Amino acid sequence: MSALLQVRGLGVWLRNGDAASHVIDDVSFDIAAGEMLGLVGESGAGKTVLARTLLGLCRPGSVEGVIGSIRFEGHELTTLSEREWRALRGVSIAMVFQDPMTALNPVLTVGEQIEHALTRRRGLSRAEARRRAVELLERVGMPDPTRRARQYPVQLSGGLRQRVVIALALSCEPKLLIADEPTTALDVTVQAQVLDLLDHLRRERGMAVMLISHNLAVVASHADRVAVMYGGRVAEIGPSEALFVTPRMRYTAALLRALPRLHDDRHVRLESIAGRPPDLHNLPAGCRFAARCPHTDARCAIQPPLSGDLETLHRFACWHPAPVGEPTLVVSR
Amino acid sequence: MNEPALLEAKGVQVDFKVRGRRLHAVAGATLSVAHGESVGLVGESGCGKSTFGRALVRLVELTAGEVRFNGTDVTGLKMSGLRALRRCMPIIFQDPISSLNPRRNIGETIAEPLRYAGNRDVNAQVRTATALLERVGLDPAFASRKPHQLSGGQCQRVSIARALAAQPQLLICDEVVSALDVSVQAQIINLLQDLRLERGLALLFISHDLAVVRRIADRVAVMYLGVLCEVADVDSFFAAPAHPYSQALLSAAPDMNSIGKHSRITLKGETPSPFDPPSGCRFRTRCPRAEELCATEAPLLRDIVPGRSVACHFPIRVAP
Repeated sequence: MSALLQVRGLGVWLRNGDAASHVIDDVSFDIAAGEMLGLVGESGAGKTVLARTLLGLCRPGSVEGVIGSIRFEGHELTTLSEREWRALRGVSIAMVFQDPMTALNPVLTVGEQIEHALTRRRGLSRAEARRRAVELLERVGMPDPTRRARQYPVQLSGGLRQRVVIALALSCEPKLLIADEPTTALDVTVQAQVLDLLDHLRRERGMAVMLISHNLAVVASHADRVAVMYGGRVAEIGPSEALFVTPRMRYTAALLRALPRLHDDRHVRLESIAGRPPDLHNLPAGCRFAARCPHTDARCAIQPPLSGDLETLHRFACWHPAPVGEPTLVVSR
Repeated sequence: MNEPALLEAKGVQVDFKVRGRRLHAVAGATLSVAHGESVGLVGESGCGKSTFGRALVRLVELTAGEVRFNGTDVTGLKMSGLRALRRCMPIIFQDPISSLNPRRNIGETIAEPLRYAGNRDVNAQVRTATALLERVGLDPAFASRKPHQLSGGQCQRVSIARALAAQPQLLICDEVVSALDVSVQAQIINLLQDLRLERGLALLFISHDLAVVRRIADRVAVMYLGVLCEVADVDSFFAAPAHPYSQALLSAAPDMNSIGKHSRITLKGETPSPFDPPSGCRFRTRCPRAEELCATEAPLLRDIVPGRSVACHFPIRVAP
């Protein structure tokens, strides 16, 4: 089965004064139809730049440089013009951002915003669009959708606003939804509702979802596969369970040991990772985790590790991977 | 426990007036912190947990209630007394960068509580700042830097060092690790743990992150819409919460052990507006166990088993 989205050797440079920073470096992965891929990483790992590149918001011209290939349903996206992107963005590839307030127009009612998308993008009549907008709000679990459609974003709480943003993203029946920290601004009880909604929608409609989050636990409970980014590269990618139970790349393993959990032995000290993530404007030559890694040798400092064959289900970029028999996480079932 | 608590807050109420309407941000909260004890205060945004923390040192004024620190009535203190109190019980805030003076170097910032305490010996100030920087894991050379030259995690260490300068007995930590990345968060959690053991520090650790609170707290207090729902020892709380809200909160918290699984109890709806809280029990509109009594009578926080009090008419049965 060919993938819905196929990213190969993607590299992005951002302007930084007179220099260019290599913020995405040789990123390759696939997303299949109906799949939920989690993308995790700490701040500055390049998650958002990657999302923006997949949405055509970082293109040659707007950034210093883009290399590699992004194929969506077999079509190459990196060579599209802005006009061609507009026909695709929000229609076949939709997005949900972290802050639902700034993603909505404050002077239009939420119903009007969804109606606009439906009349402009899908050519529906006004009356049809109005009916459909209420339907969409209902589908994302908006209580009392008819009344809510007539309200402005300020009249809604954060959780309800995020539902509107999701309804808006779904209005054109996208094949891929890129959700960048969709629940970070929300409370845990509301976060659970929104994540369950995304999961339900992708199962119901076969929509692929790329769920970007700094929160490993959010991703673990919902994604089929997970990619871990560090310093602009994919450090490790694989099925959720394999990656979280037997991480191979030393950064993933260290990150999982640094994470407080609800069922661990709370009297055992957390293993923190010394130092901090690399500065994207001044990246090291070899492995980007080398400066913080206790398992390094001379090679790690000069030669970036290879991430393995793309056909492999569980790939990782590490010269000295953690042995498989060393489970980091004991999963209680 | 016959020893009086270090901090005792009784019936703390804080009202805000917003456009002529009165809002009970904290509607009568009673909580104590013993010497050297760590109490975690959890709840969702807007539940009043930060306001409660601020009211303890009167960064916001109490509308009613009483706060005693070491037996002293905090509500009656004048400004000079309050300054001294805030050195004994400093607050560390969430955003580490904006809580430091951008124009002052790190060394001066850390020594500030000493200057306010009347210590004019510049050499002693420098020595203290150097020792504290080392203690929180920073290079003493940082003393001459400005906050913008530091990362978020480093600034949070500076905030902790500053709070320690006046030898406090209690730290109020308001979401101190929430803005930090996981790898840095673990460093700060470990630092706070070490400091507690070393100095016998008490903590009031305010956070929305249950997994972090579980690591740091001896007791947990859960707040919802300005009232405390449950106060319990940390191990028994996480083993089996007794208040339906605590249970839902714990169930909704994403956890690594739930790979591919979903939360079991998903609450419906969202927190009601604090301008117009439900009658009776404030949680009843979202509570799966609510009955008629809950709408008419607000449940009071009462002990159900030793080491656990719950404000609920129909608490979940737990083993003592």
